[in-house]
Amino acid sequence: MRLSAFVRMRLITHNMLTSHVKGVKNGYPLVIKAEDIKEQETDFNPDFISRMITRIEWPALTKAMEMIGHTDQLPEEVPKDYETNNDFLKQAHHALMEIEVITGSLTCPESGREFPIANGIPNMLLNEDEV
Amino acid sequence: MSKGQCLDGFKCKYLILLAQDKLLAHISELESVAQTFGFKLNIKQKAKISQSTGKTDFTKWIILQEIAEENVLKLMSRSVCAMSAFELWGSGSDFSSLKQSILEYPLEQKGDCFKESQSFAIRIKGIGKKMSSEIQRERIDLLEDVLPFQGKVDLVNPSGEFYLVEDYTNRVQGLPPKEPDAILFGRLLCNGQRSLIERYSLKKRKFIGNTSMDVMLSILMTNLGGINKNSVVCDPFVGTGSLLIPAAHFGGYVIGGDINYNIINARGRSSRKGAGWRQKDETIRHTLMEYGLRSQYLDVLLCDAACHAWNTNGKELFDAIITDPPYGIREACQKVGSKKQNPVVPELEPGLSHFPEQTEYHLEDVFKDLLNFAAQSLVAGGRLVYWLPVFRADYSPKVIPTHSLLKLMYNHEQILNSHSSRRLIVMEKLAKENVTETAQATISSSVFSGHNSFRDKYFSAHNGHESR
Repeated sequence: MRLSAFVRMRLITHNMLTSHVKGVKNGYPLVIKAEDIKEQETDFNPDFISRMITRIEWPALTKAMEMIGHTDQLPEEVPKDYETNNDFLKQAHHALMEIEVITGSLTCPESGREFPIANGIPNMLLNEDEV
Repeated sequence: MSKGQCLDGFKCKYLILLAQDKLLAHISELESVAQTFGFKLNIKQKAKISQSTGKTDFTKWIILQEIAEENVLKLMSRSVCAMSAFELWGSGSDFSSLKQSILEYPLEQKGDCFKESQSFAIRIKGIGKKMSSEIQRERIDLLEDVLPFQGKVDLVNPSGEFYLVEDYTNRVQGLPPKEPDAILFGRLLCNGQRSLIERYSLKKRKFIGNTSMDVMLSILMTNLGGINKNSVVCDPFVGTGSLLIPAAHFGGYVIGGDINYNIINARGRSSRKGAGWRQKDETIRHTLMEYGLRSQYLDVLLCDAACHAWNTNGKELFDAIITDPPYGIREACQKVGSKKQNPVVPELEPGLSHFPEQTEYHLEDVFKDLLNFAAQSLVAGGRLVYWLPVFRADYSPKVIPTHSLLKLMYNHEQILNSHSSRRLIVMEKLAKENVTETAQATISSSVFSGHNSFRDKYFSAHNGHESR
């Protein structure tokens, strides 16, 4: 569908989302099931990526990469010199910003509730019987 | 010494001419930009109690003291409230004292401008009064003996551009005074960012909505939000993304959420008269691409602000939250929910989405949820900037929502009509150490409780009936 040419979900966004299903205690990170992925180059900004390293959950990012089938592209842990380590920052940049899920779903790890991704936009709305 | 730098030991002063602005947010904006760039401001502003209205009237100009010129340039690189900045050479309450002060301005500071190689232009500006060409020529003649320019006059592209500013805003019985209140003279440094207002004009933008924010206000909100390069900025009521555009322009990375499927997915009718259905490129991402800001786009999601999906458990995600929640006038206040006691969601075939039923989202909850969200997800020092609609007869400071983790920085009223206004609220997140974990937002007044609390009053007053 042509709309998909314009919209996708990035892994940096996935890193910031959690399941908010009522009663769930461990809703993070959401399990990604990706049917359609695209890799799109974007401008590399080392200062921005370096800043993001402290904001994101690194283990959730490596898990997300595994879930979409991109294994062994990231180190298990953030290196101590990450702020000046350009190679590492480039890898992080690629994972966070350049891999986009177009169709698929995000699933709550505890309750199994699925949040669909269509045209690259995650639908995080709960149903009226869930709120 | 090169032109444009103050001598060691000499403290230059800078004159800032302000734009016409009923919001009177210029000090807030400049303070916020200064804080973003890491310096403090020392502002001298003249104020008078108006004889006719009894209100405090501020001058349309301010003087900055104790500030490095590079910081003045930084302020002007962001401000939409400031029109132009000048190195102040002289000021006085009448012409002779002005001339005297120009004479007294150190020669080392101004000497280079008088060199034969430096072309110049002198502009005469009246604030609150049109200066005829005759008066302009007369003033320039009067200044000749204190401004010994040797270079050529160049009105188009001079090396040095100088302004004589005469302030006639202290009106007497509705007419401009015969003599100016203050006269100032300075060398033009640079202009502010008002040209961005034309560049990002809503008239030229393809993707707009019913409530897309006026460009000047959205730039102002970006500045009040302390946004800078590499900031992560979120709008939980993103709509068409109008508030995120200036944030992206100044180097922020933007992300948004909205409950409205049509807006997020470029469906439904366009808000522009006669434009028909929205086209597939009417999305926030595409708008940013058209402006050359594609790299700043993070994502948008379908998300209910009343029950959001952001991971705010112990993680601080955003540098700023800039938003304009719906008031119930042009956009309905909705959240996911049902009027039925036990709603039943139909079983769908795989691949189909259920569009959840929406129900009333009371304004009281809208703002409490917003403040709680901001308090959890902002980094320490990060800012929340939002509009609060207020029925003017109801207003008191108690109406402003509070949260123990958020400090109220600014509160500016924009009058919408005789009975209603909206207030631009700026809050800053405090460092967590000083506050308890279970802090929650509160509103001391009950003006926002109940369904359509603002909408009902707004339309009742509009129709001249008593409030229901």
